[in-house]
Amino acid sequence: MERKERQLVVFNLGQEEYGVDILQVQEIKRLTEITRVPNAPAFVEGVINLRGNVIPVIDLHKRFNLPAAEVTEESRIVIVNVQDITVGIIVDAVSEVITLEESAFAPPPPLVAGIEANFIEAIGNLEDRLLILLNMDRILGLDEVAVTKELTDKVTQEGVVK
Amino acid sequence: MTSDMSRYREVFFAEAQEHLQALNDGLLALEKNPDNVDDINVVFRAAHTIKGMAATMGFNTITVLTHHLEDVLDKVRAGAIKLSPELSDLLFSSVDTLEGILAEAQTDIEPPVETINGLLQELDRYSSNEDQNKAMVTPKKELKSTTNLELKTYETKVVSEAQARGYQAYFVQVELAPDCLMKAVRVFLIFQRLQAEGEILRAEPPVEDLEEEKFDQSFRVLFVTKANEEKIRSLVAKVSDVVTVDIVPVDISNQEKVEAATSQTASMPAITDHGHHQLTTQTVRIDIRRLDNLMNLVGELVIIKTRLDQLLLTHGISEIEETLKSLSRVAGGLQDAVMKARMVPLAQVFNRFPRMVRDLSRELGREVEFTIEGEETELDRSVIDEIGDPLVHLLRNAIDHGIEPPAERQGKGKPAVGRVQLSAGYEGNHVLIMVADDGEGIDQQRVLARAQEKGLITSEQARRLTSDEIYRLLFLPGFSTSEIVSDVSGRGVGLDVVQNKIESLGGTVEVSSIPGQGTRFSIRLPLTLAIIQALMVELGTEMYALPLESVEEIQVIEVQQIKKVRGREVMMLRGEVVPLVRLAPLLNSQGANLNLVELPIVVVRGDGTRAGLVVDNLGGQREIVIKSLGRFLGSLPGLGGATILGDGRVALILDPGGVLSLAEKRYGRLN
Repeated sequence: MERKERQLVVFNLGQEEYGVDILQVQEIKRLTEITRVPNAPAFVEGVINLRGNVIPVIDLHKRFNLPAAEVTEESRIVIVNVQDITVGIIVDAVSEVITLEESAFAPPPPLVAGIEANFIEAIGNLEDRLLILLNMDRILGLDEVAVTKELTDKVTQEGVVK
Repeated sequence: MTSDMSRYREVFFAEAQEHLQALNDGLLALEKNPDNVDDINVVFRAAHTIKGMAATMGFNTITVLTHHLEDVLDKVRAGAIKLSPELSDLLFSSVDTLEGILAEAQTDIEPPVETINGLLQELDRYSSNEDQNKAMVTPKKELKSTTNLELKTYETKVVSEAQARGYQAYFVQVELAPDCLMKAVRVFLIFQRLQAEGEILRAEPPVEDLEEEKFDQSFRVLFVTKANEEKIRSLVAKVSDVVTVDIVPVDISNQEKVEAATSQTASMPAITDHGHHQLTTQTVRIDIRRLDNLMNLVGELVIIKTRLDQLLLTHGISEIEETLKSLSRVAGGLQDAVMKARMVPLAQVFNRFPRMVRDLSRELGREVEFTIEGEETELDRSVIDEIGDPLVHLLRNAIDHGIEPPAERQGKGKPAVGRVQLSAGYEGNHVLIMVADDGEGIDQQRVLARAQEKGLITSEQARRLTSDEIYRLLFLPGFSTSEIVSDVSGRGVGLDVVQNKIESLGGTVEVSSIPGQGTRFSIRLPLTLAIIQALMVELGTEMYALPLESVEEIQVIEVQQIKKVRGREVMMLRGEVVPLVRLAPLLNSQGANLNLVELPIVVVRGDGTRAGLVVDNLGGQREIVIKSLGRFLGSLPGLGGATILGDGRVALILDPGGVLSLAEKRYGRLN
């Protein structure tokens, strides 16, 4: 966090504007066919084929308990890399990439736009706009609390095909 | 270079690799047990064969180097020089140089002889250069005059022992007709006949050359038998195309002379005391793509067969049924055979490790006894190609972090020589590979401290983690540290890389450790990796793959045939009650929701339970490549991974065992 500036990929979900650190973004894709995965967590929309790799895709509307969005021409899948895990997130639209001074960020208030403060790393103040900087680790459940869970999961994880 | 020649080139380099391996293995064995005649012979033979092949191919530098190497090895074999550690190192480094030259010659052109002058001089220091230019001995001409001079010391021993027990040794020289075809077959027959009556101690040229027909018209063997000359003659002469048989009894009355003469027979190929084994195993090199192609064709065949099955069901022509059953059997057998053809023993990967462990333990000042078990275990070719690097990493770890320096070990009351064990074996549908050491084990406190320092866990979590979870921390990205990882095993990669690789192969890796006593890494890999035969099933618009190995049969039944037993849907199959599981609701799928009169049922077996899965439609059989669902999704009940279909869509692979236990969880016991 010593950097003075951060570059963010800005996208829309419903009425709000969100940002993820550009260093976490691998690419942005048009919506492709998503294969539903039974018994996966509810916010996991399914899996897609990303150049021969099977990548899970999550729906932030569901993750944030926001009303479901319509799929439009603008809908995109933002492929992010967090802790060596590649995941796609479905967004309503990707608007821009902006550079913000570190000083433009403020810690999140307890509740923003109805989503858990937990998922928010900071609020970016952009003249007349408010930008919600997301904490992808927490959204994916990879934060420190989840490490233990993930570890236990992995211990019990078995081979691909029995 | 003509295309024909380039074809030989490929063969040459492939075979040279094998002989290089034999050189390495043999030298390692020799280092442990310098007096082992068999090992010397193996090494000598390997060098000799490379020399011969390289000369044929016109690779001069390789020929010269192997020639010098052979000279030194011959001195060792004759007992004229001892295999000192220095000589050992020199031989190893010669082998490395040889490997380098081969690699260069393969991709580019062979470096000139001048580049290895230094090495050659060093080698000459040992062979003392007395007989540099000796050419290949032509056995035919020398035979009668020098027979008894050509016995090696140990041969003399064998022969004299044999004589004491009433056997007699002969040199049997056989000449084949100039126009003789299939010379190797004659050789095989002659060997077979002779071995019925005695033991062949040596063949000249060596058996490999004879097998490959690398000889003109004649060859000879040193043969120990109770049979007399006449008997031998008639045995051999009965083989067609044998022109002459010369038999000379071996006289060993003057043993000193024999020893003095050994150096003169230097370039004579070595003995193969059990040469006939080599005559019987035959292998063919084949491009893996051809096997893949074959596999696809077999897949198509199976699909067509399934279609025929379906046609038969609708048209009911009983005459065809029997024939179709035979076809199924043959197709199944063919499929198995092709799968097996893709299997390669782990030895292909393991055999380079002894050398690596030796070099590494020297470099690090450790003493290590390295053992390998189960190298005959077979895995799919594509896994074999990938598993090497992770194993190298784990072995390096074991030697670097596991095994303590000898003094430290003695201080702890352990033997100075540490043990590193690499073992492999089958475990159900998996292959289990273990890398174990008896070193200092993993210090859990140190791991925890490191993980906290790296911000991977909080101190509160550190208190809660179980041993297993602590070991798991080692595999987290960003855990490897300069403090724990030294130059050797460090190299910028941590265990997370090992884990990723293994998971990409559909396997898992686990670690267990006892402080002060050692560490063990266990890798589980699926037997046939990535490619499996699957039956595609449709639920509405969704497509799933069922591994064919767990599919027992496919039935199409009419809705009325579904019975209810205690509220559970079942069907009767040849008098047996088979519980039914409707796949669509179980997987929360919309399903096609058709009011089908006929329902396709896939009877599967998983974890000891048998049930019929009710699906909307059958999508035929195909070969699929298994992809992991990744770390984020981890393992989900009922799913065994995913695959990518021909049109780019992702289809999920069902794990029948998991599906059935999911059904049991939801609806109660099935049976």
